[in-house]
Order: sequence, then structure tokens, then C-alpha cells
Amino acid sequence: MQKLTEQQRIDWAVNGYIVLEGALSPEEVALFSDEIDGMRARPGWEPMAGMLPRGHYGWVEKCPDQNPESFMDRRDILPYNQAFIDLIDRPNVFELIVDIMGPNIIFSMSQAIVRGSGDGFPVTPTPMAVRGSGKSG
Amino acid sequence: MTETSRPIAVKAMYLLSDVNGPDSGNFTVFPGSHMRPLQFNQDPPVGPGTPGAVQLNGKAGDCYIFSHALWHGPAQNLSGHGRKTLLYNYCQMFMRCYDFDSTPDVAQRATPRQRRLLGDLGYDFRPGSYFYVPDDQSEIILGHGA
Repeated sequence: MQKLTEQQRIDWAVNGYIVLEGALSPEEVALFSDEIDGMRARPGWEPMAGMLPRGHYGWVEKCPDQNPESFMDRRDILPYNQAFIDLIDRPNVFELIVDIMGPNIIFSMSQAIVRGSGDGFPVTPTPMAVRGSGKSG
Repeated sequence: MTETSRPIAVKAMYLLSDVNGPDSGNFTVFPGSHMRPLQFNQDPPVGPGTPGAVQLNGKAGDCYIFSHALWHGPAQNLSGHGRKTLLYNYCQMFMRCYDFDSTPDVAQRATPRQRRLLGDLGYDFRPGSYFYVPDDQSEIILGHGA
């Protein structure tokens, strides 16, 4: 099992995050990017602002905005492609997470987010963003 | 939560777009903030303009691993392009999945390690399951069950 480097251990302790450059190959980036574009036309879980409390997701037949450059927040993405399942424990990332968290862990959430140009910052706790997404990234 | 605690929740964020320069939908963090409570009543609210906020640049394919206790969010995006990311969240086992109320169907297409991570303990749930973990938990997670 891969472990954090000494510098990553320091970064984690001091900053609360680490950066892995080039964690995905260009081919994986292209695959996942295409998959996200394809999700827009497919059913799935989205925030449904104005209909559900902030942070809750409802089932939609498609993303309301079909422009691939615009906002989308899709949850529970594992069913769309085997590659999303396999990303759960991709060794170069997962082994570092295990080093940080220990082995008694679960996978709790998957999400694909597109931040469209013009999208604001969903401030916590006062939601400025009317689209009602969670705040993560 | 102390410096030596295991984090309760950790996220991996995969960038699928290049992010160059400020206000490009950057993943924005307050380094070190994972050790202090968020100021919910601050006026103006905590945001990318709050002192200490750092907008990170990155390349498609980069991954940020961060404590969910870290103050974080997206910068506004004025880049003219959409910024795509994937977020994968991991919790200590006593927590529950956010996306499922039971082991999802996709577990049938998963490896033993992935199935365990998706909540399949190898036996039907019973009280205490997620606190007193299965005997083979370390063996499964640390690699041989992958």
C-alpha cells in the first residue's frame, strides 16, 4: 500500500488537504468528461432548487440545461459507467486516503459538478446560489 | 477533533478541466481551517473574498484530497468555460452513506473491496456492525480483496 510522502503528511496536518498532480491519465479525463456531458440527457439525482430543501436531491429525467458548459450537479454517478465504480478505490488516490483515515471506512457519496461560467459562490450558511447545490467545490 | 484524530470524512476531488488564474471556478480553501469551527454567523458570510481564502489552480487530471472539515467551496467562474469535477467522499464506518439507504445494485458489478466500501459487510446488518467491523475489514481494504 502506498503511503503519504513526508511532505504530504506535513501538508495534510498543516493545511488540511494535499494535491496530487496528474492523478488521472488524459484518457481518463476525456472519458469522465464525456460521461458527464452524456449524463445531462439521462435521468438522475439533481438539486431541484425551489422544490427540495438545500442539499437534498430529487430524481429528474434530464438536466434542465443541456449546454455541456453550464451548471450541473449530479449525485450517485456510479451506475453510469463501470469506470465510476472502479474510481472508488483507484490505488494512487485510495491508498493515500486509507493511510489518512485507516481501513474502517465506507464510500459515502459520488458527485459530478460542472461550474458554469457566470456561476457564483454558494456561500455557507446563507445560500446565495439559487441553484441550491451543496458547497463542495 | 484534534491533530491526531482520524478524519471523519475525506473527499477526493478530481479536476477534469484546467483551472488557470483566479475566478475560474477554482477549488477555494482556507488552509489550516480544518482545525477550527466555521464561523456561521460572520457578516459578511465566509466566502472567497474572506481573508485567508486561497483559490487553487490546477490541470485536468489533478486530484485534491481534503478533509471535509476544511472550509472549502468554488470560486466564482468568469473564465468563459465550464469547470468539471468529480467528487468522491469517504467516511469512517460508523457514518452512513449519503447516496444510499442500503447496498446499491452497482455492488454486483464491483470487486470485494468496492463492495465492502459500498456497505456490503459480508453478512446481513446487525446492530454494532459498523462499529465492531468485520474481522476481514483490514484484509479487504488493504489490498488483498481488491
